Amino acid sequence: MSDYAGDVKSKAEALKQKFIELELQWQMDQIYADNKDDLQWTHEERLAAMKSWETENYDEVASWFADLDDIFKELAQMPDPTTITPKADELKAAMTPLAGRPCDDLSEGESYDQDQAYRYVGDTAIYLDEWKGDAAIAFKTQFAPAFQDVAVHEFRAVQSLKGALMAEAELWKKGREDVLTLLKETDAALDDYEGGRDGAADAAFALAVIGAIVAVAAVPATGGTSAALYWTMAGSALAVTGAAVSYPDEPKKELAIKGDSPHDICQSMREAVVDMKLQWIDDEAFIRDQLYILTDTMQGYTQPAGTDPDDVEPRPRYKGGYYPGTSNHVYNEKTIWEFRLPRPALADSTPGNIVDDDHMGRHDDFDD
Amino acid sequence: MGYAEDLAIELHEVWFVANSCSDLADAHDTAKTAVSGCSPSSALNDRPDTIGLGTAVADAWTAARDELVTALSQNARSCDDTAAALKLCIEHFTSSDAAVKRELDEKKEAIPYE
Repeated sequence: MSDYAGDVKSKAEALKQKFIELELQWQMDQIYADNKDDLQWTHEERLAAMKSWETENYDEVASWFADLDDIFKELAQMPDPTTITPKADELKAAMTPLAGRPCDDLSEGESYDQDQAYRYVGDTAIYLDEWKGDAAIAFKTQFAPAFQDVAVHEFRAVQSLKGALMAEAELWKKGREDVLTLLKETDAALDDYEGGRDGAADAAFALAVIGAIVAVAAVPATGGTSAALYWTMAGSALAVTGAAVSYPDEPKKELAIKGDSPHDICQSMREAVVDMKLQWIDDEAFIRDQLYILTDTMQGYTQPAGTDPDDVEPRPRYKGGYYPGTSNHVYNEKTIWEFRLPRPALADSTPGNIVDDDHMGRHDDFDD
Repeated sequence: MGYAEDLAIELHEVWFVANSCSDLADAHDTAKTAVSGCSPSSALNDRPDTIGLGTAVADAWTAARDELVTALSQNARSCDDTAAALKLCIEHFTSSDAAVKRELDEKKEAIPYE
């Protein structure tokens, strides 16, 4: 059990106990209030009656808060950001060899120099200038010149995969902070109630998770650019620590814990938990959709040109496939080629055809 | 320059491109190994189904990763096979002509691929 889980468990247990004790007191205050003179009890008699009521009704009152065990057991089992972040870091090993040109990892602001593997690819057409076979011409005029851009698009794809993991790690880091804050603020609300007794408790806190996946929004107004660039800009919006952006949905920024009685305060806390969980769902839906858009693009499906950035959505999916006819996405095989170049004919040459006219060919000067 | 030397110059450049293609294939293989080896599902899914979207993010992430791995694999294979084809071309001209082979070996030594 991690420290977080243990922390939540012990704090939740203490909080539940506090709720039970204060609720017992609240109930007895209603029944045995000092000003109920008609009972004609002495102070001792009243205390004895209260003690008896408490013993008799403890289990009943405790049952009103029994659900807190399950609520906080669930909240104690949120994903652990410290196990997600190393997975994001693993992807750095893929970024160096995909830097077909100098690249910046927008998810962290780290710069990558062009990898040595790409130092000659730009000169391919010059090196093969004398080779006039069909496959040689296609290779030097189509495959090789596009390869650096393809590598950069793959770099951006890795960046988006990494950014999604960073956003997840940040989401659950802040989510955990919010759970602990909820426990603390609820406890403060109970102290407030207990101290004042005659007034309503009222504590409020801002959700840390709101800023967690800074990730977000700004999905690009690209118009007119290539599909890969369109996606690249969307992918870059997954940056956790990058430029400021807006949020996927207008979040509920502040949660209030309040009430005139312990059971009211508890109900308020339950509602805050629901709000918090809804916020996590919204945030994860955004991250998921960015990943869907990435997959769509690599599979050749993009938004129609001129789509309002606010309306950008992935193709609707069901388990194992896509809902037919429900998408206005545009399919273009060339979009796939921005990530995955068609296999060059030259690659399929054999000893028997390598110098044929439809492969490398043979420059006249070489004929003997 | 004679035939052997002329051809050796051209083949030396083919050899450069072949090596370049091998480098590109290696780069993509390295990236593919890193990407395909990254499996965050257990870390992302270590939660009750009722927290967040459950397994949906991990599923979407894995689908995107697999698509990228397919692209990296295909590009690596294209480069690798092209490098092999270019070497076939060199082999074609040098296997039966010792003069061309000798000229080419000298050029490789004079201007190595590095």
